[in-house]
Amino acid sequence: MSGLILLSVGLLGQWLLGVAVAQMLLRWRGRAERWQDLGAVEPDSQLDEVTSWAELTGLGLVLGIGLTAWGLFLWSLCGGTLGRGVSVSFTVIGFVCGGPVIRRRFRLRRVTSHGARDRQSFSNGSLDERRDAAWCRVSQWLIGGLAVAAFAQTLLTPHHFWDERSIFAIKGLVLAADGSVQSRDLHDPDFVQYHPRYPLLIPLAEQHVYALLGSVDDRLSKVVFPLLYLGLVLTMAGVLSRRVQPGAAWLFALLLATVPVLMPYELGFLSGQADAPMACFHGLALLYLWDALESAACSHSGEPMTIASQLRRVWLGSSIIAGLCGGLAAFTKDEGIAFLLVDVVALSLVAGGSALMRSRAAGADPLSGVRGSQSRRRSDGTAVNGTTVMALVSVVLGAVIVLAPWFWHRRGLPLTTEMDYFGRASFSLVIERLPVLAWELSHLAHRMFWEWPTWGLHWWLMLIALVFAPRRAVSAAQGLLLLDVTGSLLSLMVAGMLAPAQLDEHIGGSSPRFLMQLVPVAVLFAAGQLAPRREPRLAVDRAGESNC
Amino acid sequence: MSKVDRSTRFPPEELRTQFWLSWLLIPLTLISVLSSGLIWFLPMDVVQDWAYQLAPSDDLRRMEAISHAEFLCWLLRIVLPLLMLATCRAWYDFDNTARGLSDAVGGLLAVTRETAAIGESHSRWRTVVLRGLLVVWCGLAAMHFADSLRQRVRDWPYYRFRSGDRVLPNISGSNVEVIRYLQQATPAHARILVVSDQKLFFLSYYLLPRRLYHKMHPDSEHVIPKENLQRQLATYRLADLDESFIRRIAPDYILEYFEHPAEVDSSALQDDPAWIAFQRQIHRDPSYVPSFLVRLRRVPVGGQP
Repeated sequence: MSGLILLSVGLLGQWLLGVAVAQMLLRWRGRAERWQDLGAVEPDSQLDEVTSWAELTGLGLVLGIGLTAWGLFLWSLCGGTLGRGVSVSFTVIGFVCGGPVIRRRFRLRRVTSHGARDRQSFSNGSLDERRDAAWCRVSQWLIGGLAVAAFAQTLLTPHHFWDERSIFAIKGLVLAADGSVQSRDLHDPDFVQYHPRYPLLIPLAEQHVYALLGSVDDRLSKVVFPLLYLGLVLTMAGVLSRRVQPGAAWLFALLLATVPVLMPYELGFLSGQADAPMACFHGLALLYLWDALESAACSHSGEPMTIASQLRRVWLGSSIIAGLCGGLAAFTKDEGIAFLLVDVVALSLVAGGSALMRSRAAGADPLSGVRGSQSRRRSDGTAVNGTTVMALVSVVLGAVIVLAPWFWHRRGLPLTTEMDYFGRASFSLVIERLPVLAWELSHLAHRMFWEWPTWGLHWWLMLIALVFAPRRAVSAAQGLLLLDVTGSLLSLMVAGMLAPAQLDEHIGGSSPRFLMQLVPVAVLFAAGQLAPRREPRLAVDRAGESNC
Repeated sequence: MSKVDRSTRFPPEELRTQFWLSWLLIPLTLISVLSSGLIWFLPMDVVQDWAYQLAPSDDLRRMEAISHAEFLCWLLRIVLPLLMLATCRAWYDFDNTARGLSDAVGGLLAVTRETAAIGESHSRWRTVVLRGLLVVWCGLAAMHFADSLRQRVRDWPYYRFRSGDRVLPNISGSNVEVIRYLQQATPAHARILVVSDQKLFFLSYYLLPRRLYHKMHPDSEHVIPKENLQRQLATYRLADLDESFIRRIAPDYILEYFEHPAEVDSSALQDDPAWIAFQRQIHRDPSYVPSFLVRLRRVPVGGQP
């Protein structure tokens, strides 16, 4: 019983640690502390407050789990022993850093709630706002119910699939028993484990649970996964609410929460496999990049704002979060490395494309004779280009900070059962195996569109969204998502060409799980295409945030 | 409040919602109140006995039926009172509930109507397509959710709230037997060198803190095993391993474990008397001879295998 209590407190501390980091990063982009910046001016509505809480809570959950695992890894890499002592220390750090943040938010909430209530009783709000708020509440209740169901179902099933036991859970047990990532067995090519070079985020997160619990119970260690599920959905709702109507934001968050392949599919968030956490980390990385690009697009709508400083702030905060999430994805499973490369390439292409379009637009400007207008455009464009480069650097930097120690450690790990894609990659092999592309394409199309009753309708939603608003799809933010999905699918096909395993077994068996990792991107793309945009508000502009 | 008062006080759509809500709440309240009382006052033994009577006359099926009844009973004991509280709350604050519900539906319709129009020209058919997709989406989600709940009911007799090392879920019967045998035949921290035609990940996972070492044949490294030994994996025999390798592992035990008929030497099936005794005990057959080879040998300290 004491173990269960300590586990609960430890998970709370983990969340608080994530909240502290999330608050610090969100502050960069002037979101989380918006009302404080305004000098405790009341918020536009209570709805905003819930949304902000959603983002902070969700991102706190995800970063808490990821950074605790990463912190434990660093600690162990430096020679520290994993166990209850260090896990309790992380919990204490979480309470010390995150406790004041939550206390401040509660205090702020009290003030703003009173203000909102007073105003509500005075004006009673518009009908549209009231309806939007009512729908948001219903969505929140449904998401809450789904999260409870996910927890209950997770706790009713021990680890029982091949990969979850042979790749991740076994390492969690060895870490719990040996107390070190330098365990001799994890470095032994003949110790029976699968994919010894796979990253350690999940094993370390499970080890953290065992350490707090004081014993091994492979049902309880799965508590990490529904937490990530909740984190993903809440963060999606929170970030989307910045850009689109809150009702639409919560609708798309609810749609994400009900994609069968994520939950309740057995290999999704209910299992201890890494694919659903990958969907979470990779999805959040793209969510924040999308958010940054959206803010850039809004700033170009002609508002007399200081674009350079606005964008720098928003982009830096978002891209560091994106980099961290991308890094955590690569620290979860090797596919994360491919995703990170695809993200960076897609972002570079989008930035290059935007710069090209801007320079063409400036050249074709009918007012180009007006010197002031031209010079202002040029200076804005330079600022945006500079910011984009800075954002790219921040994404890479965020990911490198997370991944550098892991890759340093990984060099010493055995290669048994590893596919070694990068080692095998050669032009001649790709050419030789080109014919398999036809099989791969038809297989993926079949999985994505034909098997929707099994996996969900998200690919159809994405396709419909693309057809309904094709012009919007070529915007920078939406283009990034399209490029990313395309690049990710291409990377899977190339992996199939390079892998030493039988193609239909390798790609055929793993494609549902790989496609699962792209679900949040598909839903986000649909939201960006279809959801009604949020109208600009004075309060937000005053706070220095470029909303639209 | 009279009918006339209500019609002046509430807009028509709210009145409509109130009408439908009251018709929905009446049966829900009745069912939840009566069922909650019944399910809490009905002894579990009675429910299980009832399930036992209905089950086919097979021990396993009966055990499953009793456990299913227990799971469903507890699920209803949690869900029905919650439903009862929710319906009571709705009656208590009926006008606001109806208003909230009406607003929520209005909000959803507004969001999906706007959704179809953003960025492009307004179109009625887009709204219809999108809403149609959302309806199918919800139906699909509900279907999968019900299916997952059914799966939990099916799992309950075996998983309950047990950790995996007690259940040994989703592995072959022969793997389970070998794990149980090694658990009783070797000390907790033993180092075991295995030669086998099996992928031993599950053994390794459930036998911790015992450590299993197995030199995997390069030809079977990227081969996925199939059920019922349909695929033979390339493997090393004990004689194929060189002495320096064994010395490096420094095992306390050596286990030979082969299942594929092509790998099993039938004359060696009874070489390990402890394994044979274990098999005869669990199969309750004093003359039982297993069809696969398991041979565990202790390596003397500092000695050769």
